[in-house]
Amino acid sequence: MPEFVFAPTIVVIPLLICLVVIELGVSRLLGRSVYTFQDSITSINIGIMSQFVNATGAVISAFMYAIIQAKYGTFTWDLTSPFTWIFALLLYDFMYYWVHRTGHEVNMFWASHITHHSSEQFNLSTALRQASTGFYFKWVFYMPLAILGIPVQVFVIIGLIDLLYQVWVHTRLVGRLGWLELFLVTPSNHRVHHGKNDYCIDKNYGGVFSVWDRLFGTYADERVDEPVRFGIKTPLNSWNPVWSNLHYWVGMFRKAGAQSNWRDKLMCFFGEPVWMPQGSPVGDIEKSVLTGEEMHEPDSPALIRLSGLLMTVVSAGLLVLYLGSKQQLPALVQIFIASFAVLAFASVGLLWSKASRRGAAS
Amino acid sequence: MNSLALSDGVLLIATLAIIMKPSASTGIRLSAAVFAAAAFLGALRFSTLLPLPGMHSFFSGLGASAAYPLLAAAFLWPDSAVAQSWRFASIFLIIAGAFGLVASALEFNLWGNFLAIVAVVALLCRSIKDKDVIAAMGSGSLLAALLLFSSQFSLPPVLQPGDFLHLFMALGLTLMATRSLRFPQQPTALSRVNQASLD
Repeated sequence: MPEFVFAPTIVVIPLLICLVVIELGVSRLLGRSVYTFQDSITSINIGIMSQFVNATGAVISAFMYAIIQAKYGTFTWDLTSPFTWIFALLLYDFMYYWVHRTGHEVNMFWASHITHHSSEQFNLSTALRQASTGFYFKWVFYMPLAILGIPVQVFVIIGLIDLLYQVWVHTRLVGRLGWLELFLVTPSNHRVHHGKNDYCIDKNYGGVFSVWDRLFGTYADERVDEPVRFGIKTPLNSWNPVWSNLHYWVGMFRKAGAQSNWRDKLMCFFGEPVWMPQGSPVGDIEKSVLTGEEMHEPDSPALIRLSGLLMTVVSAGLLVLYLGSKQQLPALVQIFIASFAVLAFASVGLLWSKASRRGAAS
Repeated sequence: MNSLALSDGVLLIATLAIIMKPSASTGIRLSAAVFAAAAFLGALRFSTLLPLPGMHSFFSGLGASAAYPLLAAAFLWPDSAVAQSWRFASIFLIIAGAFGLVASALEFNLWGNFLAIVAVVALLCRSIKDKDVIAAMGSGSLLAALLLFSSQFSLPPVLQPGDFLHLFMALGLTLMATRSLRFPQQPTALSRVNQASLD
């Protein structure tokens, strides 16, 4: 039996779920409806599944960073100096801006990031809805930090701070924050980022600081006269965590397969998500058209809802156990556990989607 | 000041000249920018003005594993999105650079050399096929740079292996750029769209 070893992420996961419960309670007290049951449970399940998968991916990122830093790292940084941490945070956030922008503007990277945007709600559970497939490209953007010699422990801690900061901005309960809007990412300007209104598309990519958006012309203020509608332009319409990660990939490969020449095939992967081959009818692509103004929230039997909740609680517990013991597990066992988690979520997601469709039909 | 600093300076001037020529395609200018960064850091390093060996090695590696293939792609397919648009040239550079970093992390150091030689041989074959003397001389120069450096050829005490790499690269890139400047490509419909919407 592997020994349980404490890791920061072990505290973070239950803490985030507690924050979701607190926001839900506050929203009820304020009489505002910002949560729907299935959407939120799906978001949390997607988040838990991504942790099972990305636990290995994160190790790969840190491993690559450490090697490149040791090989090419140019300067020596004093870990006790505040300058080191401030500089690292600024540079990390600047690179995050480009990772995030690439995640929206290059189709094969959008295929991963779309998972985070597929919720039609905007609340703290949306922050947990993270892709399981994003780790394969993100690490390369942070290599400038490694080449400058910023130590791997600074990189990991700053990355965690940047990530945790981004949780609280996923809320509708906080309005505009005055002068802070000028340089920080806030709930208001992040709502714009998650909007599918035309003025919201490809805006506000910042992680902690919004100055990057202002510098590179991607900043947009929230409009009072036009409420933000959340989600993606072609709605996911599924509660399946695995499908939410894969649906765009499947569509992208199908689209590439249908092209007759290599240039168009490559454009399907590296072009913008709005790219279509010449002569194609416009209208069936992500970001080009709004379909489905109604939210995907069909009624499901209470038993199905209960099973979803149970799945969340059990899988969150298993995730904590897994993260606490995974360092002592062989790589093959880790892969097996992550695959089993994906399979379990796929099965429950399928069951849920079927029940939801039956519920909607009846 | 040693010969490596001077020859890196020559390479820097040659690459800067290519970057500043607006008629050179975007892909060629971006690959020249990577070589320029490596040459600039090399000049600083070998002149001992500001030695940053890690950064110099990184940009040299990026040049071999990403900038050479980008240069070849931009010459071989001058109408392609990679040749014409900043967006696609950058994506190419990032992805090729990522593969280069993985190879470097796995200590597979031949990866960069292999890609650089394949790219230059492809350029040479195309130039010969097109009976383009200047391009053939340019790509031949680039190939000579790589081969002389790989074989650690030197003329002591005047020229070190790195000098041959820098000088033949400077000559090769200048000739290749001259070739591309003499017959600038007409923008295609796709490249016009890319330039307008993405650059």
